[in-house]
Amino acid sequence: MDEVKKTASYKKLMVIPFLVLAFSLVWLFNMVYTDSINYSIDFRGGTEISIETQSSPDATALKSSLSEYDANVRTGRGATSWTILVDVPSGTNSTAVIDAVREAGYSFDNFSVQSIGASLGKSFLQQAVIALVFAFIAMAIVIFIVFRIPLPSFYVILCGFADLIEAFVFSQILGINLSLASFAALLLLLGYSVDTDIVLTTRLMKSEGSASHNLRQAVKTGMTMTLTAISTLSILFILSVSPVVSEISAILVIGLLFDIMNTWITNAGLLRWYLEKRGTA
Amino acid sequence: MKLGIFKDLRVVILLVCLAGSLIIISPNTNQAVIVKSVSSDSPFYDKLSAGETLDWMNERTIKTVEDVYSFSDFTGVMRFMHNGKLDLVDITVPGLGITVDKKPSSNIKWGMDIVGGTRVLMQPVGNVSDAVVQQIIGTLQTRINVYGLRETNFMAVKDVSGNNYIEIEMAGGTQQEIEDLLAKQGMFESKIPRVVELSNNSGLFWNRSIVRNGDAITIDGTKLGINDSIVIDGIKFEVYNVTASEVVMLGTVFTGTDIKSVCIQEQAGICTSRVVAQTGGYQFIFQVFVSQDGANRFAKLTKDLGVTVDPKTGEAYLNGKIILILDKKIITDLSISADLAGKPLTDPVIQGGREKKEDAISEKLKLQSILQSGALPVELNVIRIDQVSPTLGQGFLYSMAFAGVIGALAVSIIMFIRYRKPKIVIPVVFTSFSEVLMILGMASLIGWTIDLASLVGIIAVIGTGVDSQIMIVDELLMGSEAKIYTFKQRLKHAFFMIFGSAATVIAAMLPLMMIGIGVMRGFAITTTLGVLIGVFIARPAFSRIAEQIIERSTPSA
Repeated sequence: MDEVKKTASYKKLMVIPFLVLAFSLVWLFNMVYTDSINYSIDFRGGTEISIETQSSPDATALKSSLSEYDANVRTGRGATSWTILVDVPSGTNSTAVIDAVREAGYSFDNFSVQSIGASLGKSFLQQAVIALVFAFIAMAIVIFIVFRIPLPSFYVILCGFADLIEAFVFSQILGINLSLASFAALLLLLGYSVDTDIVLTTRLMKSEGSASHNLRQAVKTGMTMTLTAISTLSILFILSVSPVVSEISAILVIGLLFDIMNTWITNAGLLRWYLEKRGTA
Repeated sequence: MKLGIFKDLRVVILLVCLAGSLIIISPNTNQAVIVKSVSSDSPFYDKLSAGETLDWMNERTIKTVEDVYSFSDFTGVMRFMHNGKLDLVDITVPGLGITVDKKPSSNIKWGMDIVGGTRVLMQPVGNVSDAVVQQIIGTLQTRINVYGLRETNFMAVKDVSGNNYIEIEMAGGTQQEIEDLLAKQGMFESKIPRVVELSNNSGLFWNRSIVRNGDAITIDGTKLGINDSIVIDGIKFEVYNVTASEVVMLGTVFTGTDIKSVCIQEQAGICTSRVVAQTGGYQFIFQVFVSQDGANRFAKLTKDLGVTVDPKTGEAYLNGKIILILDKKIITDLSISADLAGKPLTDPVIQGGREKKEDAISEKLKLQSILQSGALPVELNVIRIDQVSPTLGQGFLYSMAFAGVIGALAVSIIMFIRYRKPKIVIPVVFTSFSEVLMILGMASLIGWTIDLASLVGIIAVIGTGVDSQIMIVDELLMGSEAKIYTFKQRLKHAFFMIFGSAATVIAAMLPLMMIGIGVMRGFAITTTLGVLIGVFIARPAFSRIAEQIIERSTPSA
């Protein structure tokens, strides 16, 4: 009786992750359709000047003092200092912009400049899409080779897919631009988030004993794995002074949070369902 | 039993790799200064070379870059110790003409985004071949050598569609310095020396009488001092040296406008440019096309030069080399084959030999670029610039190291809460730390540059590493609980999952190596490298250690 109720509840629970995935897919298609994905200069071209300063920056005031450069100003807080990110069209004299920031009352020694031509950015984006497709196919092939059983393998791949899409959509909603660094983070997430799915599938498919016992063991292992990763990456996000590092760690944390849901509700649910139907649970 | 673990092959391999990595990285804490570049007009030219350590100058111990530059205004005789050798140099005009840098604290090559500097990616205009790209790099390298600019790395880059790019990286350099490098174009001249023998302070030069009066000479009533010039028979002659017995005159053969073209890429039946193996090394050959006027001057200047036979090779050369000059600096000289004497050749061939193939290639590129006045064969468009101020990169490094320590602490706490056994936590932290060391050691060994992206890759590796270790510990614990399986079977189970997850990470990273002209390659390569080191070296050793610990802490086992 108890077992039946539990069975029913885990199936109902699976509605949540599917709704999240559906929402993310709709949002993604809308972004693609309306061409509203936020790209960093890596993909759209332009010049980005990153300045590390000790005094708290005022983005609006700085934007207006840099109005002649058509600049976009963002600010961020590091552990011990602030970061000012100034985006200007490519071809702008970066030294002049840096001088203008100094004139606006900021004193600093540390800065970095990155400038990318528009056509190069465009070709980066095309390459990135191709790389993403290849990475996904390669990951899927590896999973099929590892498990050799179509449905459970497919569930793992579905989970990786959901992690990737949800991490991307929510990072966009949270205002993280798609850059080469955040793109690399998404690819890493693809390879990294399926770790817990592999633990789950291995324990449920290859271990003796009851499915619920195996599942409990898998949750213990998997959650320890995910929690250590999330805590380390959050620390990296908080302490990092580099925008590249913050972007990568932020995306991984978002992705791993979704992975908890996708692994232990979606994948675990689908796998239990599969085992029940097969009659081994 | 306790020491038995150190006899296990897997543990021994890990320890040997760790020791090896430490040796390769070879951290040093000594403050020292190394030479980065020596310009061709430096008083230290030919005495000091890039890469050497400067120990002291005029008895002053050199510890910092400032110690060296404090001698910028020095004139007179300077004693200096370099790489343990004592040398003397006479500095007549102030200026050292060398650049120096702090000796790196280890063999790890840090990327531009950590040490600071500028990196520029350029695309040649139009569809250019690999040979042209090599020529551009050769020309830029020649400029660096000739003008004694900051050490710069050039790299030919190709994207997935086969487009050629050139990446220039100046560690510690600014954007302005790279722009200067790209704008630098020299004035090319080549001259052949003519020696006039004097008897009683007079002689005959080009059928004209020449009379010596101290350092000056008089030709046909025109008085000339050292470096003064006169045009005779359509050829410009410059007084180079005057002694009691002879006068050396340099006759200009070719100027930049006389060089019509230099063959960069071999085209059958059109022009020659190649490097071929020959006995004792490699020979380079390339063709130059010169104006008829230049060819005529060459014929006039060489027609009555004497001939010397090289006793070693048996080849005959004219007594008088052709000197190549860029921006009034003598760069190099070339021997002239005896059978060319007096011939107005418009398509001469330049050839030479070197022991090593790469030396032959770089010498050929150097000569080719000088002959083109150091001009670039095609226009270059700057399409990507990265500039990082030096201290900013240092800040990145420290913040990453700090985050690493705090991260390790967080992992330890979570593992302690989960397992309540410090004995398990210690090997996990140790293994992760050893993986970092091994990745850095491997990177130093293959000369891989650790940039910011690589550091993030290392963190990703530690993440997957800790994951795998948790899998091992849990499998072993489950095994000791259930007592159905042996440790060996449980480990087999764990390694199945570990290999599976390692393979998915590598699969996702491989395509990343191809894109973005290698911008994220550091990340992809470090992650892949680290995962491999983890799976094949660190994890087997860890499983052995964990097995011991769990076996002994489980009473019945």
